[in-house]
Amino acid sequence: MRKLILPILVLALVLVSCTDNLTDLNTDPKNPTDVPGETLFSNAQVSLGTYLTEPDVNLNTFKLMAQYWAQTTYATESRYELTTRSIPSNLWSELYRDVLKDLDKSAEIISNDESLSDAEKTNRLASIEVLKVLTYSELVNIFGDIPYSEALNPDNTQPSYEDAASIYEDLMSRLNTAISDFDASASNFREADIFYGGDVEKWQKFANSLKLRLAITLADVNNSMAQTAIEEAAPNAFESNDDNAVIPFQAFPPHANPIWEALVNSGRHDYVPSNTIIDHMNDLDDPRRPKFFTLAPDTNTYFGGTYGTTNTYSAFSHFSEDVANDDDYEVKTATLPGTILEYAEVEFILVEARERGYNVSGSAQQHYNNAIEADMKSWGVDEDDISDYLSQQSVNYQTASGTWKEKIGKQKWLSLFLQGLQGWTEWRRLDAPTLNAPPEMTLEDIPERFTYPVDEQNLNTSNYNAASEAIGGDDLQNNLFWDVN
Amino acid sequence: MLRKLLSSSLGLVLCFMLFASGAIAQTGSISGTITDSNTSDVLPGANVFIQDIEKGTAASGDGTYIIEDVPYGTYELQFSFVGYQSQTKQVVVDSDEITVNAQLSPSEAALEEVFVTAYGIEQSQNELPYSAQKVDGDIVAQNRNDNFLTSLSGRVAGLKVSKSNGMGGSTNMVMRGYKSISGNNQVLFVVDGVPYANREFNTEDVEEGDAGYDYGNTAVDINPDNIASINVLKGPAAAALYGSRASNGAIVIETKKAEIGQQSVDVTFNSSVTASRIDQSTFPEYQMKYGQGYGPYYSGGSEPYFYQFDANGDGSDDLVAPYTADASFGPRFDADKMVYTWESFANSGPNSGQPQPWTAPENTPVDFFETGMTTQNSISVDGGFTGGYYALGYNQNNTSGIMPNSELDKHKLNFSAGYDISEDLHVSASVNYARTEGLGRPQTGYSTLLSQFRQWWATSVDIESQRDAYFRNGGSNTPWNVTSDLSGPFYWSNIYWSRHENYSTDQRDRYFGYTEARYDVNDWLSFTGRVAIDNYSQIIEERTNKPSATTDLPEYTQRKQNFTEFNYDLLANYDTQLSETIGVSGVVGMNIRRNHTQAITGTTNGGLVVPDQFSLDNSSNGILFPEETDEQLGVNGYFASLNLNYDDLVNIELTGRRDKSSSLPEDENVYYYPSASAGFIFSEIVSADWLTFGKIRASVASVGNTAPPASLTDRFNRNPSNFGRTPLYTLPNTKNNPDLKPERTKSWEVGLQMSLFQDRFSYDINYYDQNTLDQILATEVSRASGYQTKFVNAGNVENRGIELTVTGRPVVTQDFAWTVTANWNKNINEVKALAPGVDNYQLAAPQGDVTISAALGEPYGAIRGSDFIYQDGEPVVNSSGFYKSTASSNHIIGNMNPDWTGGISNRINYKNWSLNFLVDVRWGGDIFSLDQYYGQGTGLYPVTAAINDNGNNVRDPVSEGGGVVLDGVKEDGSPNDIHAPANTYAGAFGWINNPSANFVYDGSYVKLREVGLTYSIPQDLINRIGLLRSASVSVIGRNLLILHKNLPYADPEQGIAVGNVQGYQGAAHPTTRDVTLNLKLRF
Repeated sequence: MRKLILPILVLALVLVSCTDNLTDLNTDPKNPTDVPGETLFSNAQVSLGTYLTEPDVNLNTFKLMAQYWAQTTYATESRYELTTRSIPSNLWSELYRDVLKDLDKSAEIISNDESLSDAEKTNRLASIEVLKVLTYSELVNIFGDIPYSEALNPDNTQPSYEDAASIYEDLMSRLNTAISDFDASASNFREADIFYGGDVEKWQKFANSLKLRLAITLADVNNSMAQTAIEEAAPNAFESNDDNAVIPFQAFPPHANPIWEALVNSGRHDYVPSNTIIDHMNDLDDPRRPKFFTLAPDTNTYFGGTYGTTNTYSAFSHFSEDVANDDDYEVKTATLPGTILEYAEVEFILVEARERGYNVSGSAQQHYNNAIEADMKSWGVDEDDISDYLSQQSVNYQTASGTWKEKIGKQKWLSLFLQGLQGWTEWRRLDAPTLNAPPEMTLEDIPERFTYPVDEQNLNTSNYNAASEAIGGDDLQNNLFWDVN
Repeated sequence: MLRKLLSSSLGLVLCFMLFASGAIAQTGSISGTITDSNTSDVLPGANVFIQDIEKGTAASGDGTYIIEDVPYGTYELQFSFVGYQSQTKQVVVDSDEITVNAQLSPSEAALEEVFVTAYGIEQSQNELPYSAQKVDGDIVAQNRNDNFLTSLSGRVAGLKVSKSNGMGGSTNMVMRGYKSISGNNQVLFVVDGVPYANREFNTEDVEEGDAGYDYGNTAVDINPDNIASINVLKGPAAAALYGSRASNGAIVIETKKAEIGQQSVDVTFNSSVTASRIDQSTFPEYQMKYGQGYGPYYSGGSEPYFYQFDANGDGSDDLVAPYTADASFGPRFDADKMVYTWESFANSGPNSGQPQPWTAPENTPVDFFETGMTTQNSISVDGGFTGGYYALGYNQNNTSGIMPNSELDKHKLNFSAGYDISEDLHVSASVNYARTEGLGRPQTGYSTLLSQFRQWWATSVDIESQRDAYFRNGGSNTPWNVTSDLSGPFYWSNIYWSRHENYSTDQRDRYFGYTEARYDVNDWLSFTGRVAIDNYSQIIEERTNKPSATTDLPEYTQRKQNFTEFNYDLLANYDTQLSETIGVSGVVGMNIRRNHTQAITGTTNGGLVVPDQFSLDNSSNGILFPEETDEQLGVNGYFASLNLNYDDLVNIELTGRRDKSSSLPEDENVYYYPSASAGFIFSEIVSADWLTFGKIRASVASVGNTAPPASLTDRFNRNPSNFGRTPLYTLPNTKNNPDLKPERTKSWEVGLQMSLFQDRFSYDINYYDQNTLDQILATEVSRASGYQTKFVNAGNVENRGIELTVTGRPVVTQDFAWTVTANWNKNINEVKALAPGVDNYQLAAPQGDVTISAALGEPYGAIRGSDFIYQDGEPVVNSSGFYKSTASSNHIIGNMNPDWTGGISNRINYKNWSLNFLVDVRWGGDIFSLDQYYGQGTGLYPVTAAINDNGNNVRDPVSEGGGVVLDGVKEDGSPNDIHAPANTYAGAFGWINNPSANFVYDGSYVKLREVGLTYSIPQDLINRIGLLRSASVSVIGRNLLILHKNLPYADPEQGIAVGNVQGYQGAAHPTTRDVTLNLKLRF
């Protein structure tokens, strides 16, 4: 049987020889190492647009913070409980990881893409820059000081936090560079651009409109910078709703409007419109009500659930539904576009610019009317209803009561319905309208910022501690740097 | 079904018996009787064998044997029997009839017991220079439920076994504590020298406490009736030759094999039936004073706890139970009130359209559970022939679970055989097949069925009415929790709908086997070549039907996975005496391992078009891109061992292994595992009557480990759907690292083993210290880095502890013997280092505002959450009487590691009766209970409707003497006397006004784990029947009683699923008491 020894030895040799390519086994044949840069840009746009529209209580509770919406059974988030569901942490993941890092990588790939013309490359990089500026400004508006220049670098897993005001200044200068980089004669992202299909002129307007937003946010703390920026940007910003930066949600998941997914597709009944907004709109006889809401069952009235407490779903108005199957948008429409920045906001900024004495064209009243009209038109309100509304004494800019901040604050807040984050930001900045304290609220007052993610306390401890100290404590009640009045 | 199977099995048995009786009928010239040395009982079936002439036989029913035609000469006569120590006797055949009797000692008593260590190397316990423990195959086979692994619980010092989630649920097996921060901590399984994959299919969600199904793990595919012995190798020194996977300890299983040349056939038939009922102490006890609702929120006036509207159309308002609520802070039961409930609004049924008296229901959720039944039938045949042996078996197991619509069906086949082709060349092979089919596996985690019973339930719901409502209309979803417009299920579906319409099925086919050739060069050197294959394919289908509760959109998911592991081994074994006193033995060899896993998961999108049609192409919208995995790992290893034995006094063992792995960078992919062990048998030089045996031993080892596949290079992930026509790619959440190095485990241990007074008392004590360094871990990083996790080499987890096994034989007489064995382990775990600058590694952030973490300086598995605020050790309440809570959820409020674990097993033999029982103890270790966190908040448990110090119900308004005074102090430090309101979900109980720390419980338990009573049919009766060699009937009870626990209404042993996240309970399954009746026949 010695003849079997030989085959065994041969087998052994075969085994030894097949061991050469060990490293080749370590591949992942199902996921690529290189992808086109625009696929990352598109993904960042989807992530950003979806995030801002999202009503998921784990991610985006700003429709509650701004008191547009109220909760039915579990009134936890509307009482400003943020940690149970790790909301700050989840939103960092969304914005840093899914938006900013994809933008960052997209920029890196596009910079190295030799098949692109210089002009197109510059346009693409400028578009990426605009979205980065927007996203960072949202993060600052939520938290204050945040990781910024050390962020997005996996080699530095403990980025330090930077002063919010300095970040704002830097964002402004980056935005200025991007604006000047755009070249309308060259191509941009083309069909990979979900917001504008690669239209450079629209990107220019979007960038200028964003500049207006950053500037007006700074107005109370850095009037000169605000004034310069607004005077530069005003002539180049949005001119109609056609210019709006929106994400055109699809008819079915997973890229349908997340509001539709939460209110319709899930079949859940977690939200009703809040009494805060419905009461204000009832006072003003607002013609947007049938666009936003249904009548409360068995009544002829719009009736909102009490903010910050438990509400019986069936007792209140609900969000509007697409019953007529017409072209108008209702809240519960899968294809309702998600707004990133719209023309109405630009016009409201210009009202304020006039009031602050900046050199922009048009009167405050004119811009105020334009703003309201633009918002109403985007919801399909009739021209007649719009003019009736504008002529009401309580609405008319000349006759309405209150300071300009109060007048602008209330109307801007109404027009930002569904844009919870911006609605809450404007309320904090303009201190109008009056929001309701939730019954049995344990906090001293309505939050002025979010607390940092719990995992920052664990994973980035020393920087977290330094940042907390710098802003006077990681507290819901601390005002942001721009919120001085 | 059972009857059919029994009759067919018996037919099979009869066939074998004809064959067997033909083989036994011989006469011979060596004869004798084989008996048990303790009891002097005869041992039918014990083997006798003469190696030189390859002749042998087995003892007949009266324990006698005859070997005929033995040529004159001198022979070694070997006696062996399962469960007994082998014995060799020299015999000189020089006359026609030689009588040789043998007394065999049970192997439990044996220090001579043979251990199977790495690569099939056999060593007696005398020789072992490191810690190992052996469990007899019979013990394992005796446990006739669907998971034989659980029978190891409490039997091995240092091994922690826990099974979760009921039928087919996964089994967590961790040796000497958690070592790897983010990797696998489960022990390695080795069957007949070949690694046996123990994988699980639970999603990451399930492992972190979210909803899903528990599909168990694959080590249970082994046929328990084919297990001869289980050798547990505890430390890296013992396991170093197996490579990195054995750093968590190894469970080395030897299957049953007959001796070559054994001229007999051993046929064993086992048939059992097990009944399982829930242990009510592990299920909620509900308050039965108040019904459905969240509080006085539903209407004005005098009955705010009810809805008030015109339910019957008579023009006046009626009282309506808050059917939208999934809580029990509702109206107080009052038989005088006629109330409309979910039953009134159901389409049909006795109460449709009718109000009912507002009373507590007759049937509560405990009545939901059925009696689970398991039948297990097996037949195994093993025998030998000249120059060879064979073994074959079939095991069939059918379980119907305690929940409706749940079933588990298993078929296991095994065949192995060996043959001496020539004097020098021996070939053998083994093939095993296992088929597992599951239906309605247990759902685990948040928002599953048990979440309803434990967290979100209305105590006013009658479970029988739910059942009737489902079946009445041919299976309709008639929920107890209805939307406010009464259109259908709100947060929860009809319970029976959930079980019958939303369920999973799964099917696994597994092949495991090897072929092996051994060439004996001479009497001290042999070469062995072996190719082994382990392969399974698994398909899982998960269904959610329409119209289900609002949270469950109709959905169908299909998951397929194919796994293969190839092992090619080439070994040279040597064993020789260099001189009278010095013996050397060991192995030199190589191992090539290749793993390949391929998986694909597809899920429907946006619902199903045709109800009840579960296929991907029935998706309402275009399905998402399927998720594909294709992963390979290759390791090439070379190893050698040298065991030096000096005069049976000193044993020294040196081992080394070099691995080269595919998943590490090319210049860092080689790592080494040295180990050195020594044992000194001091009883050889100490002569004392009381000292039977004594040994001290010490060992030191270092093992390496490789990275998970494909963790070096960055990849992009496709978003599962285009946006319109625009394709989307994103960066993954984990940053890979091209500079990874192998991770290292360094360990040492010392042990003392003594046996006193002729084995009447023996013990084995061991101290170990193990550090797992430079761990390859996907550490969490600040999200601001653009990633969630990043692969790094960092961290050090230390485990050190004491293992103690004590065996006593207080009584040993002719008819009565009692053996007691106690196992005890105290493991001290500490996370000594994490990634630089990081003091916490989060393992999971499940519901309940808690996280489970590896926290620096703490034992692995710290539970973090919001804590009480203390003043002089007393929790402080605020002005409303609610506990004050820390603002952050970052406080360490518990730890999952027990202080110690242990078990006491007893075996008592009296004549034909044998009784064994096992008490299993876990002491300490914390559990966060999400069930209490939410369930107290929704008013399910008696504490939420107790009588307070005023003699009033705590739910009465504080103004009327109600409310509860919580233990603690007021902010001024004086004892709390504030009555906190407890009349709504936002009161003194539950999650809203309490820190998470209020729901952390001590996880200790003392369980009567197993009681077995066996009656062996007396041998003279067996002899009269003739056919049988032995027969026994057993009654075995498992988990009969929890003697002690502190966690209310749940079993502390129930966890999430197999994995690193423990110390957390949410939607825990009740534990079952299992009683088995088993018939065992040997022919």
